Amino acid sequence: MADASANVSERQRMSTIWLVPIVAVVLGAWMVIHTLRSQGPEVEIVFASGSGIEAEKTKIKYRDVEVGVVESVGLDEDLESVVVTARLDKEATSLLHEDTEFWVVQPRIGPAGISGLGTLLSGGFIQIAPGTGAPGRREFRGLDVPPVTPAGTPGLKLELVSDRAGSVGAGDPVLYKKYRVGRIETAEFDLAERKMRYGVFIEAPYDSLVTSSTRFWNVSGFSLSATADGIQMQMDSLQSLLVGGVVFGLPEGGKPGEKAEAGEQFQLYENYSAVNERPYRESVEYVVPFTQSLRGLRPGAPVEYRGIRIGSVERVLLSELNRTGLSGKGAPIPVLIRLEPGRLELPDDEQGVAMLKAAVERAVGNGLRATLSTGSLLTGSLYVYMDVYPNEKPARLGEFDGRPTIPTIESGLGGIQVRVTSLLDKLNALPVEDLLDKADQILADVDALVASPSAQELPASLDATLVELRSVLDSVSGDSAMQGRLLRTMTELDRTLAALRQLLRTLDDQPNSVIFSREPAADPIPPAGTP
Amino acid sequence: MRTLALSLTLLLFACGGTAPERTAYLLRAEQSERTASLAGSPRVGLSRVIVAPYLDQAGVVVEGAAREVQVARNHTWAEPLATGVRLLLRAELAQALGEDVGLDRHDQAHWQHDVKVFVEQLHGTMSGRAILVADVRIETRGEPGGVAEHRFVHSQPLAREGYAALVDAEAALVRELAQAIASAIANP
Repeated sequence: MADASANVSERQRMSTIWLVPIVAVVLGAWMVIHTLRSQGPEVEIVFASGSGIEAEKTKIKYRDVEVGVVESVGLDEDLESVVVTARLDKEATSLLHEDTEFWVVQPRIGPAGISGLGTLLSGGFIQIAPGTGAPGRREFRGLDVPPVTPAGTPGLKLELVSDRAGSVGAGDPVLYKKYRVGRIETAEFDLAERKMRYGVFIEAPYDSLVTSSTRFWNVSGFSLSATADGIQMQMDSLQSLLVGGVVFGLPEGGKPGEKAEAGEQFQLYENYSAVNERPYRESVEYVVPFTQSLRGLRPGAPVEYRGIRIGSVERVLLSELNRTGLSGKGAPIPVLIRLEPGRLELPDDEQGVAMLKAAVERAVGNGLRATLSTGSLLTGSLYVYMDVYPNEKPARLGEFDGRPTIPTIESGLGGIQVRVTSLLDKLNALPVEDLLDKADQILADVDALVASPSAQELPASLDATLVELRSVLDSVSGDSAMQGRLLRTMTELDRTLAALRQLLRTLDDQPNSVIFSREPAADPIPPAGTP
Repeated sequence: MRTLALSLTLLLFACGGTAPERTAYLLRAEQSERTASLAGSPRVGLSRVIVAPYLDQAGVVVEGAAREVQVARNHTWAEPLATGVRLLLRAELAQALGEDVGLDRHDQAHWQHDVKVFVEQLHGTMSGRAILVADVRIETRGEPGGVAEHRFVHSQPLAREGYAALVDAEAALVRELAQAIASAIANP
C-alpha cells in the first residue's frame, strides 16, 4: 500500500489588487458624505410667474451677496404656479425662518419710487429677506411684488379701518408733522365688513409716537376751506400731494395715551376736521325713547349733561322699532345716542367705558333723565339734554333691541309740569296768611299817608322842583355857556397855579430874586430846517 | 436916612430893565371862508381832540437835545392847544371832504363817522423840524366792526427860523393829518 501523504499547500491570500477598488469606494463614500455635509439646504419657492427665473442661472441674493442658485424651474400640478427649487449655501441656512420672504427683483416703478434698475444689465435675481420666526422652513410662497417693509425691520405694524377707500394705497407715506415716518403696506377691501383695511408700518423710533390717543386721517395733498375768516389752504408734503398719504397725530386738546401695541386697530378718518368731530375711540350706546316730536333732531346733534357735551346722537332707530312690532301703537320713538367716556375725562379705553356704564346706571337710579331741548330758536335744531331730577320716581335702565335705555321726560308740557309742581310746592311752603295780614296793615298805613294834606301838596311841589332841576341841568350841560366859562376858568387857574409853582421854586432857589431879579433866559429859537 | 436912600436906589435898579416882547399864536385855517360856505348836514363829526399833558399849556413847546423839552415863555398859544387843533382840523377836514364837519355833540347821533384824535406829540425841534404824532379813531355807524384806528407820524422842516415858522409848520402838519383822515373815511 502506498503511503498516503497529504498535500498541504499554503492558503492563497487576497490579491493586493483589491485594495484599489476598496480605496476608491472609501474615497467615493467620503466625497459623498463631504458633499452632502457641505451642501446647503434645498428650498422650494412657489411663484405666480416664472418671469426672469432660469435654472442654474438665477441667483438668490441677500444684501447683494449670492447665497444660492436656482436648480430647477417647473410648473406645479395644477399648472397655475411656478415651482422653483433652489439650493442655498450652507452658511445661508440661518436665513430660513417661518416668515422668510422671497421675491424676484426686476425693474419696477411704483409709489415708493423706481427700483431694480441694476437688473437691466445683470439680469433678475431672487431676493431673500430673513424673518424672525421659527427656523427650519423649506417651502415658501414667493411674493409677486417686493415687500414694502422687509421682515425684521424694527417698527410697529398697525391696522387702519376706513369706510371708504379714498386716495390711499399701498406704498403711500405715513406722515407725522409732515415728516415721513412709515408707509402703507397693504390695502384690502374687507367684503364681510364692507370696509377698507390698511396695513401700516411705523418705523422705529417713531413708533413710540403712536399711542391709544393717536388718530389717523387721510390727506389728499392739500385742502381748501372757506370760512368766515377767509379762504384757507393747507398742504402736506410734496409726495402726499402727488400720491396721497396718511397723517397721524392727536386731536385738538388731546393728550398722549398708552403706547400702541403691534396689530392694534385704528380708525382712518377722512380729514382732521372729522377727527375733531369724533375725537374719542371708545363710546357707549344708549337708547332714549321720546314721545314728542323729533323734528329738528339730526344725527350728530350733541348730547349734553348740564351743558357739558358728553356724546352725540347717532340715529333714530326706526327700522328696529318696526322690527319689534311696536310701530303704529303710539310707542316712544327710540333714539340711539353714543356717550363717550373721554368727554368726561375718563380713560378712553375699556376701563373708561366700564366706569361710564356704572355711573349712568347709578345716576338713572338717582333721577337721571333725558329730555329734548332746543339748540337754536332760529333753525329749530334739537339736542338731547340730560340732568338729574331728584323728584322723579326711582327708575332703572331699560332695554330696547339689546341696548340699554335711559328714561326720558318731556321737555315741553312734561318739563313745564315738573317745574310748575316744584314751584307750587315752594309756594305752599310760604306763610301766605301772615304775609297777607302784614300787607293789609301796610296798605292801610299808606292810605293814611296819601290822604294827609302834606302828601296832597307833594305833586305840585315836585313838578316845580323838576322844572328848576331841568333849568339847572341845562345851564351846566356840556355845551352850555356856564360849562364853557367854567372850563376857561379852570384852565386859567391851572396856568396860574403853574406860574405860582414856578415863582415859589425861584424864591426857594434864590430868595433875593424879588429885589435882584435875574434876566430871564430867552426862549430857544428853533432854527430853519432842511427839507 | 442915607441907608434908606441907598435901598430905594437899589430897588429901583432892580426893578428896572425892559420887559420881553410876548407873542401869542393862533392855529386857524388859511381860508376859513371856504369851509364856512359849505352847506349840508354833517355826515362826519369831530367829537374829541385830546392833546398830551405836556402840550396842554400856554407856551409853544420846543424839544432840544436828549429829549429835553422847553416851554417858551414869550411865545404862547392864544387859546388852549386842543381847541386850536380841533378847530383847524375841522376846517381842513371839511375842506378835504368837501362837506361840513360837525363839532356839536348834540348832533353826534346823526354822524355816520365819528372822529376822535389823540395828539401825542406836536412840537418843534432844535434841528429845525416840527413833529406831529397822533392816534386817530374813526367809528363808523351801522357797520359790523366799524372801528378803524390809524396812527399818524409826520414831520416837516421849518421854512425859516423862529416861532412863527414853527406854528406855520405845525398848522401844515395838522392839515396833512386832516387829509389822511379824509382819505381813511373815503377809502375805509
